[in-house]
Amino acid sequence: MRTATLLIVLALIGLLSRTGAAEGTLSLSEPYPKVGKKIEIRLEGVSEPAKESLWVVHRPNSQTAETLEVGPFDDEGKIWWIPEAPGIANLTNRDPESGDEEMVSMSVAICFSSTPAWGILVMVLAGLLLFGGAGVSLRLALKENI
Amino acid sequence: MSETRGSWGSKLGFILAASGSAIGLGNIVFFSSNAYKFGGGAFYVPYLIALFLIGIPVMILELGVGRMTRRSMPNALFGLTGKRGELAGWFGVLNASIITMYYITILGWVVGMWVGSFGQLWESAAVESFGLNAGVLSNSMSYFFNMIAEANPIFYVTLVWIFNVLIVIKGAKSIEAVVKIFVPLMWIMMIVLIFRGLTLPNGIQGVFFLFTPDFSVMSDPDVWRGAFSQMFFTLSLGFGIMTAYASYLPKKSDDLKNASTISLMNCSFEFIAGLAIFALLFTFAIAPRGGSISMIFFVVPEGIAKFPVAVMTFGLLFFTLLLVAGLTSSVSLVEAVILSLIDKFGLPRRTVIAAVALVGLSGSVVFALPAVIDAGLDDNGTLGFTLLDFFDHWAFGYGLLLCGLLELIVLGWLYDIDKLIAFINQTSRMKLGARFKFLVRFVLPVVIITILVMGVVTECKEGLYGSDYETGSYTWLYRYAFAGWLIFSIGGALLFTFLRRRTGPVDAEPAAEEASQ
Repeated sequence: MRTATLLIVLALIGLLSRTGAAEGTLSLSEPYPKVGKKIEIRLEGVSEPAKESLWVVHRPNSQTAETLEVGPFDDEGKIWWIPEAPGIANLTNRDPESGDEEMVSMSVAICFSSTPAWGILVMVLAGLLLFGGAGVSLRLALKENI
Repeated sequence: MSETRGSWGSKLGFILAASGSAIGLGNIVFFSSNAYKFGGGAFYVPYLIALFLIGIPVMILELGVGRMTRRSMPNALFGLTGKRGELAGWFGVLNASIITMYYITILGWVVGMWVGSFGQLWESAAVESFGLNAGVLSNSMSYFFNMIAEANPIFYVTLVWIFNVLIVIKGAKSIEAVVKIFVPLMWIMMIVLIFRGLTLPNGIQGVFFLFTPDFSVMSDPDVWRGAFSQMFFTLSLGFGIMTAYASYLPKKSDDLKNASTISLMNCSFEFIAGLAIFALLFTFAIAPRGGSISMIFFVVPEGIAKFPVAVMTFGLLFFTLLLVAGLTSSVSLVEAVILSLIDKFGLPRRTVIAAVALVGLSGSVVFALPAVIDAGLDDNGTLGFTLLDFFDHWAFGYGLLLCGLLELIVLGWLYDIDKLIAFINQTSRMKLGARFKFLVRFVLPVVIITILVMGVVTECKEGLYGSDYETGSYTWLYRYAFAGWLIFSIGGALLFTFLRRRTGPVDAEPAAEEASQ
């Protein structure tokens, strides 16, 4: 039960404060994009969207987090993106030169393109082992008289 | 002694109490937080290996010791190995006492959020907090900070302590009566939350997300460290709880079956909790950040607040679930301390409960109090939050593993482990053998030492308390917190070990003979 440190909370506040203060919004053509399916992302409320670039962080705050640059928005603030990995991703627009200036950010959940066989397999095996094992050992344990 | 020590009324009562102890706040949120952090389904591989390699074996030992000696951990280890064992036992119990204090503070905050569920917490309009504009923080975050900046948590913490005292007042008898209601209730509430999670738009995608492995993380030692630490913590090992609970068991119990049942029930609960949490995270595209506290008070409530209907109902359900799960765990922590004192000093149960509750309440209030003296939460800090984090860092991050290691050294090296194995085998259908002995004497200590060393190395690389720790205004606090933990746990252990024993010594031999008949 390792707790969040105060600093994480404060950093979160700081991050949210910056996000809240930033101008502009990001919007998606589909609320739940799918892996391999092209979607349109629109940056609105920014004076010169073509000077901004779209960045994606897959699985933010995890050991497997991966950051990649999608590219610059067009003059109308639009960009097309084909998600490559399922899960939660964070979209941000940044200065294309420095790459570190986060202005507007948005979280998005990217759906699997089809039912993932590995996911089902792990779920079934882990479920069988845990629930099956718990059921059998509980039944055996309760057979004992106290 | 016989006046104060009862026994479980039924086998089911014991299993519910032990599994209720293991299933706590951490199961609901900590597993999901770790699974997200460490590659989803890939985390299950080290997690399951840890369950069978470390979780079940250590639990078998703790149950076996409790049943053999019919004493709590320090007194059991005294009976088996003398003062050296007792010292290790008291270190474990006192370390667990620190955890109990702040665990109850967190439960007090859960009560605060539960109360808030009837009002402000789930309001749809954004609220202001701490000079930040409305909407900058989620409402749950604003509510939480507003709540801990007031005096109310002291009242909530007191309330949780009263609940704990009432539940442990008659020992196994009253604990059993409560867990027979609370533990099934916990499972029912979790199933309702899973149903809600899976019926959310794309909730099932969240489940796929949880289980689909990213095998690239398997070579990362941090993932293995995360899984092995998680297993130690989730099964309440190193607290002395299982030994205390097993001391209420009759001689002829099968420790292997009991350990498997408790461990697998605990992990099954984590499994289904993951379904509910991941469905919610995915639906609302929330990436968990921070640890359990962040998940409990910010992340999950943020998701619940976005439910299309019955927000207050599900919010209340979530915090009731946390409260029930937390109480079944906190009573076991409190009981382990109470029983240790009774077993050593032979004092009346009610006197010991009063003393433990008074000291414990003071500690819990200290963990909650600074939010009052620093009501603005500015000037870089809620002292209470950092104080809790500091003690958690030492007592939970290192203390528990250290207790487990000492327990293994005492039983594996100072005591003749063959005697304990023979005792366990007398009443077990499956028999433990040389491989179990090798595991206890060599493999498990090496695993725990590796985890501890990796933790120390990380701190050396990233700085004490991690890379993002800053001392802020309280530059002295991190040193005092470490000293406080040392004095309370190790200093206290020395004191209790050398205070005069007022009860008879434990003789494990007759117990072994009795079990064999």
